[in-house]
Amino acid sequence: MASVTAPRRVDRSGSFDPGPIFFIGAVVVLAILVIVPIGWLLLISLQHVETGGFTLGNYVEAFTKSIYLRPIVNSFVLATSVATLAALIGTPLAWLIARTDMPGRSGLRALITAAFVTPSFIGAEAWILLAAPNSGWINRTIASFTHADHGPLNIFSLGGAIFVMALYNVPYTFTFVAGGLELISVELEDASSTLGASAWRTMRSITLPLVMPAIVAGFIMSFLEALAEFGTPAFLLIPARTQVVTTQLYLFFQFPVRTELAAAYAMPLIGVTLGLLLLQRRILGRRKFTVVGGKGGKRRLVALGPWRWPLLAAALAVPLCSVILPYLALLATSLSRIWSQGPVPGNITFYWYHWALFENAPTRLAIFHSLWYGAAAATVATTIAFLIAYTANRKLFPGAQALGIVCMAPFVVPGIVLAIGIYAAYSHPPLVLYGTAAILIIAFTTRFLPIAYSNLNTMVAAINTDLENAARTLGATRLRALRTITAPLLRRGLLASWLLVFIPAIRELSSAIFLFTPRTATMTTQIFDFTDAGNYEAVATLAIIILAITLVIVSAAYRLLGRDFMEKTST
Amino acid sequence: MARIDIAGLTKSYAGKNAARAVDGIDLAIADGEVMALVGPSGCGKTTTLQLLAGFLKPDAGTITVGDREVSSAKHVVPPERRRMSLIFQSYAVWPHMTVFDNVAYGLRVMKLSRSEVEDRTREVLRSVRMTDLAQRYPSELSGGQQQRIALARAVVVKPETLLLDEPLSNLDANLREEMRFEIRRIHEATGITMVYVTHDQTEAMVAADRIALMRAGKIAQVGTAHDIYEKPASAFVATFVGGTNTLPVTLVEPHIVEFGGARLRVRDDFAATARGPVTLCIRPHAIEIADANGDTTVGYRENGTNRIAGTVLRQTYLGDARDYLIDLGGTQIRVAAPPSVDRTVGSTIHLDVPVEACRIVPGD
Amino acid sequence: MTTRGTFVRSAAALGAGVAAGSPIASLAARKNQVTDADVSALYAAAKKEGKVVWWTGHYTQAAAEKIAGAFKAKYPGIEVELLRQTGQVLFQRLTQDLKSNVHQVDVFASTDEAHMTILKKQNTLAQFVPGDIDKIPKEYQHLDPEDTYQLGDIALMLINYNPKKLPAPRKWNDLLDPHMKDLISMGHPGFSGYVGNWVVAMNDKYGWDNYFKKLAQNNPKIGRSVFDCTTDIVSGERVVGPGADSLALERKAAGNSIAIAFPEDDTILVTAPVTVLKEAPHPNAARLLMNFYYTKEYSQTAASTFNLPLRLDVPSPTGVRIDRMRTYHVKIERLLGGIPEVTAKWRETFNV
Repeated sequence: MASVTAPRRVDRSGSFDPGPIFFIGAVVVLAILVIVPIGWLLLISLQHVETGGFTLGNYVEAFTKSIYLRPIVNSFVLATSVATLAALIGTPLAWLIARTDMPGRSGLRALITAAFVTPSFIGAEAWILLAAPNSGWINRTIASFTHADHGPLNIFSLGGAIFVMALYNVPYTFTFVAGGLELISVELEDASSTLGASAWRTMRSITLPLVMPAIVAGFIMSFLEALAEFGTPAFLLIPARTQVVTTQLYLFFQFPVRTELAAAYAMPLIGVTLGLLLLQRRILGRRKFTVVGGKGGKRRLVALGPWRWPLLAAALAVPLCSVILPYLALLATSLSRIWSQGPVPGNITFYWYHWALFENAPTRLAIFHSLWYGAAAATVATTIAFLIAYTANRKLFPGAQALGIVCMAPFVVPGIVLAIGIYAAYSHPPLVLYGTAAILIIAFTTRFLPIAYSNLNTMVAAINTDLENAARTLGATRLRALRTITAPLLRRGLLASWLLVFIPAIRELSSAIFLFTPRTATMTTQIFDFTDAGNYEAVATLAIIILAITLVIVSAAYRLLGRDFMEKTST
Repeated sequence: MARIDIAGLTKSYAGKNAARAVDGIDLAIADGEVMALVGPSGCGKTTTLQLLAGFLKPDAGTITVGDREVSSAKHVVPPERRRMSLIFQSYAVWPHMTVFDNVAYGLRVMKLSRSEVEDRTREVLRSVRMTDLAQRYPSELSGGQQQRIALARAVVVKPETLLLDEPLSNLDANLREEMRFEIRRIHEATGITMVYVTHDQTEAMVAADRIALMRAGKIAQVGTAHDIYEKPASAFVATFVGGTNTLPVTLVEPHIVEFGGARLRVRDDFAATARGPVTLCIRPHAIEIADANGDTTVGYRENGTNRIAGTVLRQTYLGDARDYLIDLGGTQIRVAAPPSVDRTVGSTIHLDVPVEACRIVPGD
Repeated sequence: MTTRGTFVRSAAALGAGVAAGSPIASLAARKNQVTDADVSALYAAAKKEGKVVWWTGHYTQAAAEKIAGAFKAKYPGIEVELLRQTGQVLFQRLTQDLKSNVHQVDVFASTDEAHMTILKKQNTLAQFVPGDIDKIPKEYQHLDPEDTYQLGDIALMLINYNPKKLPAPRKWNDLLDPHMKDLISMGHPGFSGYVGNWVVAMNDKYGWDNYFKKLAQNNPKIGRSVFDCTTDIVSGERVVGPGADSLALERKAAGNSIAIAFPEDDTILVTAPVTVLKEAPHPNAARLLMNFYYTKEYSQTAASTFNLPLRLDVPSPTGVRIDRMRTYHVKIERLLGGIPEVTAKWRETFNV
């Protein structure tokens, strides 16, 4: 034994660990991505347009003119209606698919996923082809039978917009509620039925209250999506004489441009979103609605008996409207040389596909851009989300958990508002990114960072720290442990996060529409321009191409990661 | 191989005002010793281990290994440089690597040559009898096998110290026996210093050279199993290790206490002098159920035993013993009697306890 | 006319890449009016520059590419880097670039004269007068008195209609007829400069209440773009409305049931500008291209894509000469204030 008087060496080895540099780097990038645009937006909203001095005049103008107040009311009505309708459709659908023996359940699930990956504005375009009052195919068919002037449907209405937007928001409610239902132990329901309650009564008094938080969570998601949507209101609600907040923001950017007014106008959107998300968090408590198929043991399915087929028919009505009819309409249009003549012999051709993919350079470039920006955004977002999730979960330094909140902050800002903020922040020295691919990649990264983060956060938290600690006791630095232990274990999670950013990025419209410039157009901005020029054939062709790419990627992901990778949701 | 000196180690969570998880403990672990840290949950044993491993920074105090100060309030040598291996309750065997790669990991970090990595890994796998399973993945193996991999992985890097955090808790009973053997075998082969955390006092008594019993962040007693069992320093120690009855009695003279009107003679290792309330500890096995034969006097008898009287509240036949719950006028005690002694519930009962088995400890 | 003389013609004022003795400098000395000799000199210098960057909001992509092809055919050896986008997007990008001192555009052809007013104020435009300026309609020569921009395109806002469903309307006032209820489709002045131009014209001719408040009673379908009217007629969604000439003619030629009518109470003529930027990276090629605007080849190519030729001696797609039409042109000074004014009124009247 060493004697008490022997000098003690203080071991200072291991003081330098390059690990923190990576983490600090991630934090810095995070600040640039998230804090700067929102900060700029706030700054500009308080700036006088000519003098640059401080003023509240922008807020006064934005919120006292009735012409600007009406869109706010419209947006609210629209969002509430969409969320309600989506919940009313999604909840029974979820119950039918998750808890009953209705036939064709997995097929329906696939169709709902197809709706999930279809951008709402493309659905709107398809529904114009189907249900424009005079020229829509459904209307024309019905009118030819009834010999009326025109068909009964009018997609250019508030109801039409609510219908279309709700259809593409159903997957939110569906995912939340189906996930919640799958976690309910069958014993809870058995207890009810052993006490003599019918299946209907059990569902109403036991199951429904238990999934109410999931329903509310889905409602809030749909509400926020509908509030921030730009494409569908632009296509369907302008003719319906209904201006909403997003189209009004777009108007602020037409000539003459009024950035400061747009900034002031946009701020409350952030406030509303933040408030609703906090409300959602409170309602959900600390529950997560992750869906891992089969967990919780066997579940007994409710036997529907003679109701199976009628209910299946009713359930099929939903994907019929969100997927089957629209895709068919788009396909038919894309294969028509002249869309007004319809897919009749003599008019059917692959001309437009050839044009889009081989002849028309700008369109080819736009397709390439969509894929490239999406991939870049997905990579950056996943990397940052991973490093921050790790930093926050392992509490690498005091306050590290606050970083998680910063990562989720963009969720609170509607896409269009974020785009305006990014435009304002990066359009003048020292960092001029306007007009570059970088600004679009930044916009997509920021916009979808929350999805990547919440997914990875759950997964990093689920990894037992013992696994990393074991590596450290064997001599690995934190960074090495991260690289050799944590990251490989998260392979699937990282891939899932990548896809969860890539897929929405390639079909993002509302932020791209503000930031694209002639050389950085994407498929979605092209669709928007082609719509304006009345070139519906090109619109439909590009839409089909986007959908095809998305579906291929999603199917590949299903095969690699299991069918539940898209159903992981945040707390 | 090194001695470990812990001096004044203190750590509290959530701010300095919160309760201390580890409250100024001093502990000297000899080179090559197996020291068990035992205690109820929340006593601070796991936190102490985490501090030893370098995953936590102490608020005060130091940890010295050999002549290296590795932890202090100012600086902590990170785990990767402490030459301490850790065996986890959850095994922490990496599922995405084969058994071989798991064990070889530490050697590769040390940047040894391929052949040396290969040789040393194969050797240690042979010693834990896992050679055939080298290319398997952990998910294909049982808990016991996984823990053996963890053990192999930990010792192949020849650490100075081995820390074990409840290594057997997740194993079922027969596997525990096997693993205990494994751990002891390694210790005998390498002579490595070990710190072994467990909540199971039996395990501690079997595995360790010395035991440090912890409670509420402090060390209640350090000593061999014999010391702790036979000479508990407090009622807590007495009740934690082995289970004991505690009776509130009054010290009236040195070695004489008063209980229920009777005077009992007791063993006193603490030479208590203050008159007043103390705790009397008696092991259930040390109590004999007497045939009264009409003799109902209680108290100290000249033959070296104390007699006390009570009522049978409950008795349970356990096959190799009969477990009695006796009411002593308010205080309840348990007696472990031979199965043939069968007294009815409610009957009066007389109990004889040798003076040697009656120990008083300071009040808690 | 005399204002031109007030401009200083130093090399610095002429912009980038202008050395004394270069074709541009000699042009400037003669008030920038191009002659054939100038063109040859410009071509020679432009060949050395190798390419010209052309941003235009006029025409469709296909039409613009055709014109680029015609330019390359006439002046081999000069690449044309064409960017065709909506005017607003192009303008926004250009102003950003100029703010950050990025100069990548040579020729900028916007759909909005108002854009040029702003650029002119920022002193970013070069003076230039193409040869053959006398061949274009007199009223639109020297659109800018200071010659910092010229006429680049003429678009006509006239009546599009479906001849199978309606006899040809004769006047703008015909749209106010009750029997036009639910038949009309049009764009939105806040979203489209062309539509804004037309709305200002109607407002100035008839007054807001007399025209638009009555028009509102016919429940027109309101879209965003000036092309929405044409598209809706082609699809059969609506039957009539104020639209541009080129797209309608293109759709008609493709076999759709659509026709145009020149209103007796004036076709609204929209002038769109073109300019050479002062700091153009390829100044000689830039001027060569802008000069090309008034050549026969340009006008013929334009006419072949159903756009109005700028030259009077090239037949228009309809056969009707501009100077033989009854037209109404909103001047830029009126347009600048007029569009925000009518947009505000529009939003009140039509609630969108």
